[in-house]
Amino acid sequence: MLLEINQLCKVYRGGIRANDNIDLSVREGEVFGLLGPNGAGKTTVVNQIIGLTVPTSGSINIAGIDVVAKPGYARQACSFQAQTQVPIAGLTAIQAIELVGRIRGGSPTQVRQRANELIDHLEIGEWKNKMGVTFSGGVRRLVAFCMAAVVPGSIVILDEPTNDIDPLRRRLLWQEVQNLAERGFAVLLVTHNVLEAERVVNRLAIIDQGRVIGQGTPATLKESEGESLRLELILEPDTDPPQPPDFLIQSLISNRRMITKVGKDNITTAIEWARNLKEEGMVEEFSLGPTTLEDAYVRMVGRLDTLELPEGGI
Amino acid sequence: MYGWLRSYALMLKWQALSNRPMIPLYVAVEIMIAVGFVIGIGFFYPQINPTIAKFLTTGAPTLILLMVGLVIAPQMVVMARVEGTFDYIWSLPIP
Repeated sequence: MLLEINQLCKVYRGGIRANDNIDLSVREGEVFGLLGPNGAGKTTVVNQIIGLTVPTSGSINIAGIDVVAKPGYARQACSFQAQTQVPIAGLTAIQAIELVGRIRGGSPTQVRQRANELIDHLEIGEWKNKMGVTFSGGVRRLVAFCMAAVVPGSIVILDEPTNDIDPLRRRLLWQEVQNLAERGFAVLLVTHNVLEAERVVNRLAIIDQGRVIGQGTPATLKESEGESLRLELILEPDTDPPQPPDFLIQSLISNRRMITKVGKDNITTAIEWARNLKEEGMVEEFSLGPTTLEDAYVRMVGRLDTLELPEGGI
Repeated sequence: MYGWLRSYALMLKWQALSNRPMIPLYVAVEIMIAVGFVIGIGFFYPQINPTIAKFLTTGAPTLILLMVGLVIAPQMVVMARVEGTFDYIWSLPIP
């Protein structure tokens, strides 16, 4: 394992336990997702890996080296895209990317070539020679990604990389993330966007209130949902949500969206129920499909209001 | 040693370029402080002879640098900490 975290605890002054006995391991060439609601302790884990915060107890090893004792090694081994914005107001996109590449030890020619490659792949060429002060939030984040990927460390840590980014460039960014993994780098992806993470990660851990509450591949985590299917209804505006019948399991209603599970034996009845609601004008549309990682996540975390809805609705 | 110098030069470049949009403001403020300082200190002396004038004109920039260092630099660090950008710089592999 490239990154091994054992029994990691972080208790802040005042007794706030941000991380509680966290065990994680990430291998080379793998995209590992760290999922959880806001304030779950994901960023605290990252800050401890790169030495910005000292753990209260536990160990963090990168390639067998204890990085709590040697934070300098962690900074060399990890390239990092922070959740907050990067200080590039006075720099052009290409200057910012090249500077970080040079600081990370790349040669000028190699860095320039890779920077141009990333700019082309992410289609941000029109901002290449513009000053950072003029960038939108999404472009800033794409440039920050390029800064992390230009001369990657053996572990690339991306903290909420797709926030503010338009749906088309999000896809390009995910492709680049997968390219990094294919080249043998380990990618630690921190996000609360479960729907996107499901498509990209090889393995993941779900963190809530500082603890790991589930870990494995998306498939193993979804297995815990059994053989039931997911019924999703978009309610008409200004209508009261329908009373879920007994054959529906774990119904959750958030805003105009109702998500519920249907056992194999009740599929026909459920479709009929949903169709009737549509005919009565209570439901705008409905869909039935296999359970998703989001369902497993909702069950584990148990709070629908922390989820991010996909771009453009369902 | 080469690594230290290289990183120092690159970080210096980053800082200089990062502050580019603010440079006209900094220059204006520096000039105003310098002029105000020389005029203000001049009131302490009933007559300014060439020696006092030399001390004033050479000592003023030094004192201004101290003021800038003690006031503006900590303010910039605090701002960077609040925005979270300080942590980003801290995460880079600088020897």
